[in-house]
Amino acid sequence: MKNKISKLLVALIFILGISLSAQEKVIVQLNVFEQLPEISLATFMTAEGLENTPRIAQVIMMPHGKSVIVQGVVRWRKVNGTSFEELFSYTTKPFLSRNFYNDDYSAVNGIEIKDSDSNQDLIDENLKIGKASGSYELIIEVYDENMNFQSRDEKFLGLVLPASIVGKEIPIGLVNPTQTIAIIQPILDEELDLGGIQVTWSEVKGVFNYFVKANFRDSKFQSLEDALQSGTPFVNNEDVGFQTSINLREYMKRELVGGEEIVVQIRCEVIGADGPTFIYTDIVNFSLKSAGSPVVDKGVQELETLIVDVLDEWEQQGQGESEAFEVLEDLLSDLQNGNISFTDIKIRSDSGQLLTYAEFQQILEYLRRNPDLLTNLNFESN
Amino acid sequence: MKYNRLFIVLIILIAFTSIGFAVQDKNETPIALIKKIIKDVSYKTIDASDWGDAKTGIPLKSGEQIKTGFKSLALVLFTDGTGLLRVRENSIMYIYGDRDGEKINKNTFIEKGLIGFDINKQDAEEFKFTTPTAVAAIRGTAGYLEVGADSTTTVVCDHGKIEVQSLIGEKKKAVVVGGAALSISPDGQITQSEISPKENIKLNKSKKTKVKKISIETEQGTIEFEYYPEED
Repeated sequence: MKNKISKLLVALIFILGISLSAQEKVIVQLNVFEQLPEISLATFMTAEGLENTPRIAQVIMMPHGKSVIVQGVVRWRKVNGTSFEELFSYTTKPFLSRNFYNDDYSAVNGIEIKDSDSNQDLIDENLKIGKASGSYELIIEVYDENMNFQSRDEKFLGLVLPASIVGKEIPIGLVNPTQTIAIIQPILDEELDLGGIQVTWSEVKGVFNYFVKANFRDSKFQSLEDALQSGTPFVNNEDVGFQTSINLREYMKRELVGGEEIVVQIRCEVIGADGPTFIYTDIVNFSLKSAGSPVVDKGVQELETLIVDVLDEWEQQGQGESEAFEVLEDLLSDLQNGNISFTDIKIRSDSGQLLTYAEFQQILEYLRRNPDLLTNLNFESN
Repeated sequence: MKYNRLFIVLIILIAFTSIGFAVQDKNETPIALIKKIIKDVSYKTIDASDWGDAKTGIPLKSGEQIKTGFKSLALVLFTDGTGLLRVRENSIMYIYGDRDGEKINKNTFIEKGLIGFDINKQDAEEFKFTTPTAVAAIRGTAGYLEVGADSTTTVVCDHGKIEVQSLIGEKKKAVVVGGAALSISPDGQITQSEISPKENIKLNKSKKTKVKKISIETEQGTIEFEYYPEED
């Protein structure tokens, strides 16, 4: 009896596994590159296959390695036209899902076209114009080998915007505006609990891999860039897949301490006709809640101590009434009251070169040992 | 007779004019020039009643003065290439030169403050520092001279040899060699010793002539530091 039950259980798990695996759909995303309006349509319309055509589009599929069939349609609406008409359509033979470009459709070592159809009158009309004009609709549909629908993506390209596609259409001539990526959470200078550090960022179309980098900021005097790049970041370019929200703790290589300041940046790779390019978020800093004073205040405290020493020395030298003395007193008071923000500072040498916090700290230490070698300390407000 | 008198008057006039030119020429010849200025440096010409702002490249003639303010520095270079003076902060210095043929006998009077010096080996000409309490003859050496608020003169010799004579009391003489220091009190007493750690710090500081700047750019403004770096 026990045996029967266990066999039934194994069978159930097996069937469930197959059905789960069958349910995993192949998601498709279509990207069209910027060069489209510059391309002569004759190249496309007269080509026997697509393998020799210029690279203008990319198809991204997830996951890879599933047997799929792709159906593609290109529809055209002429300038001042009221509706789209089918220009060209095709169906591929089954192939294993992967990312590919339009020029990968090839009978030799590529993705083979099984059937295709075209409207010769419309093609001739396009050829007369020579360049892309009006609006185009590019549709990609993915099916499994049994022609079960998996997913669909479409791109509209054109200057005339039908109400239904406003916001989705990329105008020709202004195609693919530069994509940006931004960290939504945490916000700049936010204070978070140690327990959960949720980082969320905006989605970039056509990207399936985001990379996260996070590091400690030693002091307010360390620029965010310097903080991110110094040493080995505790989250070092971790590939987090295509999710756009993570708990940073799951990717940490070291434990965090309350009071520490963290800097984080997300980057992703965007594939274009000229190859891959990286786009980055701005670096965002946030601190971790602590009962004591934040570690990052150390640099400010060191500067305050230096100013106190310098004021002392200047007073002893009879400079207590000077204008420079007053400016320095005001600066000290502003630092102590938190009136000066050190969110994103830049420390430069007289040649304009940016100094790292470590270099600055060395100078600060030298001046604290030799306050008489400081010839001037001034604050110029904006 | 009338012409004779006129001729004599003319001769005398020409002679005076020539002397005048000669005197003017001697006074007009720059002995030194200001090579570098940090912060607040002023100078006074012989006939001026007020101090004027000094600028880099200003020639200094005999009898002219230089004054440095708080945290300031003036570098003075002798035109005959015999040496360099570093007039440190809060100092007042007079510069004198007496041309003797090709030579210029130089005498620098330090009223107060600290002057670092680097003097090349002198052949026949004199190079003297005078303070309210002493006179020091230099033959090619480096070090510093400091005149305190009570007119105490301290002579620190980095290398070479300096002959010092007190101008007060018994007007004693002494020689300071490299690594040694000498102090002359307001009553003319001379004390000699090795360079003390404090004097050594001053000696090193007296050699610094380059400043570096760093700025911290914040949203509210820029904090600027200007300092003498460790390596000059």
